[in-house]
Amino acid sequence: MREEKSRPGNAGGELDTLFEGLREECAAPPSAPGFLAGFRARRDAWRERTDQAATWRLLALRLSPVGALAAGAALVMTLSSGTQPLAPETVPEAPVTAEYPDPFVAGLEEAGLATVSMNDEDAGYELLAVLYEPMGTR
Amino acid sequence: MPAQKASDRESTRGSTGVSEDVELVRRASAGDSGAFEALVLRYETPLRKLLYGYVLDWEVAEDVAQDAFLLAYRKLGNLGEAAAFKSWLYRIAINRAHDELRRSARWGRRLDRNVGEEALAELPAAGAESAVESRLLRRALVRELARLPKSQRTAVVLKDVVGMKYVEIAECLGCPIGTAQIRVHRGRQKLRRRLGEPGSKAGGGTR
Repeated sequence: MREEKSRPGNAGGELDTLFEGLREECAAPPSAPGFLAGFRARRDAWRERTDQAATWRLLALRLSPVGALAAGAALVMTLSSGTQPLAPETVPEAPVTAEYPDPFVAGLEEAGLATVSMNDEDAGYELLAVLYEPMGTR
Repeated sequence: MPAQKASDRESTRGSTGVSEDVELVRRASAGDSGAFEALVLRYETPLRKLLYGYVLDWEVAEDVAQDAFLLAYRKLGNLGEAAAFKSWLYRIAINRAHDELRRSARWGRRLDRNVGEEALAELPAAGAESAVESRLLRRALVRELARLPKSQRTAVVLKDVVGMKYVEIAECLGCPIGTAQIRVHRGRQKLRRRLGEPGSKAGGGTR
């Protein structure tokens, strides 16, 4: 397919002009001196959460099935305690598809209790299944 | 030695960049945090530019870019070919940008609220009116972009805002080049129809 070039004066020309303006806006990003520090903070917070989740999982594996359920519930409480309450307008429309990385889902995944897959077509992430292992029976 | 063509120089620079990526990804996968931070520094600006094309807000673009880097850091083990790091990272960032747009119902309202005051604050007094108008038109374009199907919107943004070649877009989207071209073409067609209706201002198209 040939590269599309629009004639000046028509709708396509106007579109090209608009895109040119948008490209100019994009071409001059403000400096972001705190970018790396911001990334480090997020990474460290994630590592800490992962460590906590691993501890809970290890504990759950050593407990009886009933104890494992209790530990799982405690894990869920721990993970969800870090989430901010959603403002009414941010409540997801379709509860089947989870926004990711949602701290709760991320925690489940990190604890090995859920499988999350990226869904390219839907631009999101889908919680495929929550697989509660028969913990404590090993 | 004959003068090197600009395209050759670009190609050489590109392949050097890829080989540096491969080395950094290899080290990062082995647990070298510094190597991943080098990748962050390398792609921070291009990623923010890409995301600005989606969200039209530098702060949000920075936030989404950091999120995308974190996801890439966590999922680095899933990256098949180290050489594909750039397109993989861009794909993650695009998905995150779509998540952000979908989640943020206030996005449209923020655009509407900011456009007047931002434009007036940033632009010189002389010709401010026409500058504001052109900025408003660009907002209208972004709003119409947001109404396109995801596949077309992504292709158009990568082509017309980021300035990627079709081959790069295809890599980014994980589709054949022909598919990328068709998506760009159809997306532009829709935008032209919506923005170029006779007798209607760019922002007025509601179809």
